Amino acid sequence: MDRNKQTAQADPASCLDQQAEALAARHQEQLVAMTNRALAQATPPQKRRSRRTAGAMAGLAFTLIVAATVVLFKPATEQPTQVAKVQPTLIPDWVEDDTVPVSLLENMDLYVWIAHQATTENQG
Amino acid sequence: MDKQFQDDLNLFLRNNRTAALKFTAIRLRDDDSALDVLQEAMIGFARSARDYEADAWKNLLYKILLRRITDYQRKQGWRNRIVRIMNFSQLSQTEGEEDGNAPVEVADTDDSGSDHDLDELAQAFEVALERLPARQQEAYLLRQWQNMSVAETAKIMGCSEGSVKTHLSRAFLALRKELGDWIDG
Repeated sequence: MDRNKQTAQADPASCLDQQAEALAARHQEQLVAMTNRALAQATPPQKRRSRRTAGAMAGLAFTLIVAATVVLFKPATEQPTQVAKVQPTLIPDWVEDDTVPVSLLENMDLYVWIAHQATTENQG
Repeated sequence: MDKQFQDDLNLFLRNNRTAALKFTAIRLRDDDSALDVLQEAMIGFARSARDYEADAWKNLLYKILLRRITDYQRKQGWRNRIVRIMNFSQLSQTEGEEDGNAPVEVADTDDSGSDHDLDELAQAFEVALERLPARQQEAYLLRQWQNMSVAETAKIMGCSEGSVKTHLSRAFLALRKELGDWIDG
């Protein structure tokens, strides 16, 4: 198999699929046990309403506790990443516009163009 | 009828647990924590699934999973803060090993030329993904890997479609800086 075919097969999604399969294989028994435990918890129809109510009350209590905790103490901030910081100005505001198709945002040529524009502006 | 529901649920979980585990492991950078969080999410999903059409189950699973991940990270933040306050130095060292700063586990590779390059690329991709901020990771994985629409991704992430696009753009830009044109798929 030549390198071009290998590169073509190693696209990001396929790469993630392979990594996911490898990870699942390492933990196969646990995943099976986890699935069985989840199935055992599946709500039967006749008990749905009472479980909903109990679940809603538990959720409300948990939310209140978490909210009180967050208010009393400053939440931990996420550590800065090692990736070079992307200047927010490099991502134009029109990206959020509803009329901008996502297919444009997922085309790498856009980012090549943005980088070129930034370089041209810095030189200009 | 109930047997059918159980069978459908079982099939759905078997078909989706692999990707869900990888998604969680990328977010938490720790396989063991990912398994725990995924278990909670699967149980929460199984309890709620009856209230939704089967077409919406994938979105439901990932929505619950994201919430569990956030809850877990919040608890971890608390735990780390308490450790610092109480100044248990040995416990702190143990926490340092468990907090996901350990190197990414790498699959065994052989040394044949192009396979080695491919594995290096895959490793670099995994590391680059894990370095992304949380929201960019989520937007990229849900949209690019799980093929969800922008609208679905926004619902799962609990943000606007515009925000999803911004997170996605930043993820693409950051990944391209690390990996070049390969990230274009």
